[in-house]
Amino acid sequence: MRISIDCQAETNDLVEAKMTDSSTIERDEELLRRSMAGDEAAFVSLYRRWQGRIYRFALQMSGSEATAEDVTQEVFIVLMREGHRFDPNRGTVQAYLYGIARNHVLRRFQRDRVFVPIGFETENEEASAGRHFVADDDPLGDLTRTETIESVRQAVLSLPAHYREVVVLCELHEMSYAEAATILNCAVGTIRSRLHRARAMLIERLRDQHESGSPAQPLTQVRCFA
Amino acid sequence: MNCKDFESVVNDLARASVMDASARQEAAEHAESCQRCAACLQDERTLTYGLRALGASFSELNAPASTEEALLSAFHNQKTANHAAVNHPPHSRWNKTRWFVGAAAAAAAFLLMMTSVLPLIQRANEQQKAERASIAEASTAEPDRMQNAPVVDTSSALAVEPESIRSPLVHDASGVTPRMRRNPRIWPTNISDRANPGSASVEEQEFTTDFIPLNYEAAIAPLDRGRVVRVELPRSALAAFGLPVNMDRANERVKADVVLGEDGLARAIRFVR
Repeated sequence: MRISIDCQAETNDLVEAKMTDSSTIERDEELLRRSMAGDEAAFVSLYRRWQGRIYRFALQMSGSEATAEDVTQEVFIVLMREGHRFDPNRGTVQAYLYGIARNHVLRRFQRDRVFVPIGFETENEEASAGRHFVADDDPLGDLTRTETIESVRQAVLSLPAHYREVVVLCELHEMSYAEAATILNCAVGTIRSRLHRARAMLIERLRDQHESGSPAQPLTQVRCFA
Repeated sequence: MNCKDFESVVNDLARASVMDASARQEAAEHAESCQRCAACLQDERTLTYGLRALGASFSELNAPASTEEALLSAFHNQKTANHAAVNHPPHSRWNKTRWFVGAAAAAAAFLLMMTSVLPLIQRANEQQKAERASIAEASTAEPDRMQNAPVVDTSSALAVEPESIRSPLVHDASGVTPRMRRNPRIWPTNISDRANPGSASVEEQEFTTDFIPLNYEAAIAPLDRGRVVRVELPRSALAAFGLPVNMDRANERVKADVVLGEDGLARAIRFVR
């Protein structure tokens, strides 16, 4: 079996990443152990290492900054109180934290089912969505890029939760299928098939958006009294 | 590679994932020859670009500082609580004392129950003994008393069977119907053993008085046909027939067989124990 050169380079990167990952995993477990023993510095270190990813995961899943803040706080509260339940044989600290975050996000969805989404973001969030791609010297290109990002974000948020979480983990957080499978507690094949289906749905929705030519609508949530 | 095979690898191709080099080459060649698959690959690449741009747009977002402050505060509180719990085990002395108090309370409750319940049990036993003695006395005196009663020709009255026995649908505890009893050949084999006359002795254990006529007509005119019906009466009804009654149990009920004539009127009665 022949592997192309660029793929070989990717493989080397992956091997290096794995080696880095193994030391990261050990470091996370050590930090968690010390946190459970009451070491505040270890807890702060663990929090600062993971809060960004957990916050972004919750934000990308829910589309709400308030929910993302709450979920992040709840995840580390759970870690603080029930961190002794972590079993290294079942997965990494990363999978443990993402798993808690996912449970809290899904619980939020269950709780807020009475709210009917008629949009995805407020104007401020809409403006901030593509701010990292805005360059001063190419305003037209930046506008296009911002619109693209916003369109994709809307399409991702419109996916069913079990497809959305796969897209968020594998595409936005660039996790491997195996890592996503550990977090979502399912088989790698399930991740692969869900991602395939989710991408097909995203293309379909983006095409619909393009054909209708409707710009991103500022969206809010209203209570459904039906 | 055909379109179906291409579809299975197009995701990996668009995402630049690690894949077999030959498959990658074949997919690229197929995309050049098939417009539909080329468009599909283009869509997938556009999506990958959009998703990566979206992921990058979030890359610098972090939880607000207030979240860290709140968590640190919670961490301090929990640490303090844990420290207090380790240094001062909650109510350890009271836990030992509580065991003794509980045991003492259980013992006191047991003694109280024994002192209050035992006399009641003894009294009940004495009452039962006295009742048995009085019934025994009554049964010995019964023949003498019945000699003075009007003579009843019970032979014809007893010739009729109780309704429960005559009914072909009624069976006894062994499952034997009257029809089966009359014709043992139709018995199922599984019940023939348990339905032999020697084992079916529940009814034989009943003690009965003789039939006591309820009116003079019954004593004078023997019945041609009739039926015997099992009834329950207040124990005080014994007194109406001159039988001894334990007044402490006057409210209880006793069984009796009543002979009914064809006209439905009661002709005679006997008490069952």
